[in-house]
Amino acid sequence: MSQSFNFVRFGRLFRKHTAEHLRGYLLATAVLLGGIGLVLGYVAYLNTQAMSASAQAIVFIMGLLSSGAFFTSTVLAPFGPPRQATSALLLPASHWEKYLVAWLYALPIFVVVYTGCFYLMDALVLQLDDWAGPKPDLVPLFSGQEKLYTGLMAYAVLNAVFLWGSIYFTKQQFIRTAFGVLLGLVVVLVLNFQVVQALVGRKVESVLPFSGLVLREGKAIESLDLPPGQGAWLVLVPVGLMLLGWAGAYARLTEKQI
Amino acid sequence: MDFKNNEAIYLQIAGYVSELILRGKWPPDFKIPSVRELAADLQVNPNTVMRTYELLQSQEVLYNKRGIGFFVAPAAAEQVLAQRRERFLTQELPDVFATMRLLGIGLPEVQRRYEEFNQTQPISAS
Amino acid sequence: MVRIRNLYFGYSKRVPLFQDLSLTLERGRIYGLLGKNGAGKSTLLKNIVGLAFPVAGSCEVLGQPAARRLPSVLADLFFLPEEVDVPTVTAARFVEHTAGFYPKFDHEALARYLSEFEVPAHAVLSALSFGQQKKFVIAFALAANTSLLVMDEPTNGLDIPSKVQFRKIVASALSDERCVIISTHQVRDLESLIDTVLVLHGQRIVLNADLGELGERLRFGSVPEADDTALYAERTALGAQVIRPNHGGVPERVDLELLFNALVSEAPALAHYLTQNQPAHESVL
Repeated sequence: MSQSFNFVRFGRLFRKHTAEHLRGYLLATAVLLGGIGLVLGYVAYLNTQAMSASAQAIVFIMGLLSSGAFFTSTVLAPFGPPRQATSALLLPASHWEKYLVAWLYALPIFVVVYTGCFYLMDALVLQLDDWAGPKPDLVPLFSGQEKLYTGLMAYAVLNAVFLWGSIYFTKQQFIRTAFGVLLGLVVVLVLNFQVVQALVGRKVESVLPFSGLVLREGKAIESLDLPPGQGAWLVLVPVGLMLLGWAGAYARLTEKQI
Repeated sequence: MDFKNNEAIYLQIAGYVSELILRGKWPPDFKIPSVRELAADLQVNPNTVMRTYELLQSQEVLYNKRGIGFFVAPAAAEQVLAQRRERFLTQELPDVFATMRLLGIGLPEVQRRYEEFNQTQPISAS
Repeated sequence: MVRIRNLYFGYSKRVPLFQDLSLTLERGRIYGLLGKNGAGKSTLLKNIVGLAFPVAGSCEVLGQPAARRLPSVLADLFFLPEEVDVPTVTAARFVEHTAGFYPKFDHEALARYLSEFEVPAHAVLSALSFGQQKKFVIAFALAANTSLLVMDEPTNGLDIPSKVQFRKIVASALSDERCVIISTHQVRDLESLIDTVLVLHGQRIVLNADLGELGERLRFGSVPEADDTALYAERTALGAQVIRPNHGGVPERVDLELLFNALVSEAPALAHYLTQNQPAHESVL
C-alpha cells in the first residue's frame, strides 16, 4: 500500500470528513443561499430596471470571493488547536490525502455548490422581480462579455492564500489571514511606489505593482506600460502565488507539531 | 484482592491460588482461569500472573497443557503444604523468634500456649 | 518497537527538555512513565507518536522515523491524549467511519469494553460528559489493537469504578504483540498494572527497569532509624522509609512512590547500586 496516496484510504478519509462535517456544511449552504438571496433581492429591489448581467456578475464574484475565503479558512482549521490536531494528525492517512480532502472541499466542491446556490437564487429573484418588461436573462457563467470565469480564477488564487492561512494560524484563521493579506497589500503598494520612484528618479503620479506607471510632465500626463506582447507574462504572478499558497499549506501540514 | 505492601505481587497471587487449592475450591485437574482472565479479574499486569503460574508450575502445583491452559496438579495440595511449611519455617518463624527475643518470651511459654490452643480450638477448616 | 537515540528536544533553544535521551521499548510490556510535573512526560510521548520532532537525535517507531507520520505506522499506533477530542457524531457513526483505518480493529472487543464502561453507543459523542468521552476513546484505542498504544494520564478524569474497569480492560488487552505506554503521576492508580517503570528526570530517562527485577534487587520498608545499609532514606514521623539492597531475600513489591522520590532526589547510593550488574541490556542511569 502506497505511503503517500491510496484510493481506498483516501475514500475512507473523504467519507469520514463528510460524515463528521455534513451537518455544519448543510447549515452553511443554507446560510449561503439566504445570503445570496438577500443581496440579490436587495439589488433587484433598488434597481428600477431589470437586473443587468453585470450587476449579477458583480454579486457573483464578490460573493464567491468573500464566502469562499471564509470557508477555505475552516478546512485545515482542525489542525490548529492541539486537541483536535492530535486526532487529525494521527489519523492513519498520509499528509497528502488529508491535504487533498481539504483542498477538494475548499476549491472544486465549494465552487460547484456556490455556483449552484447562486443560480438558484438568481433565477428565483429574477422570477419574483416585479419588473414589467421582458424577463432578464441569467448572467452566463462562461461568456466573453461578463467573464465570470475570471472570478473563478481570482478565487483560485484567493483560495491558495486562505488555505495556507487556515493551517498557518492556529485560531481565528479567517480574520488573521484577511488581516495579513490587507497588511501585505499595503506594504507591497507602498514599497513598490517608493522603489519605482527611486528607480525613475522623479515624482511618480501613480503606480500599481506589476503594471504600468503614470507620470506627470508639467501639465501633460504620461503613462508607461509594458509592450503589449509582454503583458501576458504577468498572468504568471497570480499563478505563481496560487501554487506557492498550495505548496506552502501542504508543507506546513507535514511539518505541523503540537 | 487487596495486595499487602511488602511481598511481590506475583507471590501474593501465588498465595491466593494456593489458598484456593488447599480449600478444595480448585480440585486436582481443574482448569484454572487463563492468565488474561485472572489478570483482568485482579486488575494486574498479565506478565505478573504469568510469573505466578510459572512459579507454581515449577513447584509442581500446576501443570500446563500446551494451547489449552493451566491445570491443578494431582498432588497440588501436598505440594502447597510442603511449600507453606518451608516458607513458615524459613521466613515467618525467624520473624517470630526476633519478636520473642525482643519481648523476652521463652520457648516453654510458647509451648504451653500452643498446647492450650490445640485443646481449645480443635482442627477444623482453617 | 520504539527506539530513541540521543534525543534532544526543547520548545525553546535555551530551555532543553531532553538532552541525549535514549530509550528502547519492546512488545509484550506495559510501561509506566513517571516524572515530576514539567519533566516532559507528555512531550516525550508526543515525540514517540510523531507530534513533536526531535531537534537532534532520532526517534523511530516500528522502524520508521516517527516524525514522518507514515500511514502504515499510524495504522499500527494509537495515542490517547490527556484531553480527548471527539467529533459531533454518534459513537456508532464514529466507529463506522474510523475503525477501517485500523486493520486489526476488533469490533467485538469494542462492544465488550463499551458495555463494561457503560458508554452508550448511540449518544452523540460531543454531548457526553468529559469522563464518558474519555472512556469511549480508551475503549476505541484498545479495540484498535495497534502494536503501540500510548496513553497520557489515562485515569485523569475517570471516577473510581471507571479506574477499576480501566485496569481490568488494559490487563486483558495486553498481548505479546502489543507495547503499551502509560504516563501517570497517580502512581497508585496503575502500580499493579505496569510491569516496567520508566522514570524521566533531569532531561533523561534515569530508570527503565522491570518491576519484578527491581523487587529482587531492592527491599522497601519502614525502620525506626535509617542506618548506612540504606540506599535511600526518607524521614517520617515514626522513623524512616528506606530502600535497601535485597540480597537474595524474598522478592518484594516495589514501592513506586518511594523509588520515584529516591530517583528524583538523585540519591547517589541507589544510583550506584542500580548501575552495578544491571541485568537489562541498556544503561539505566
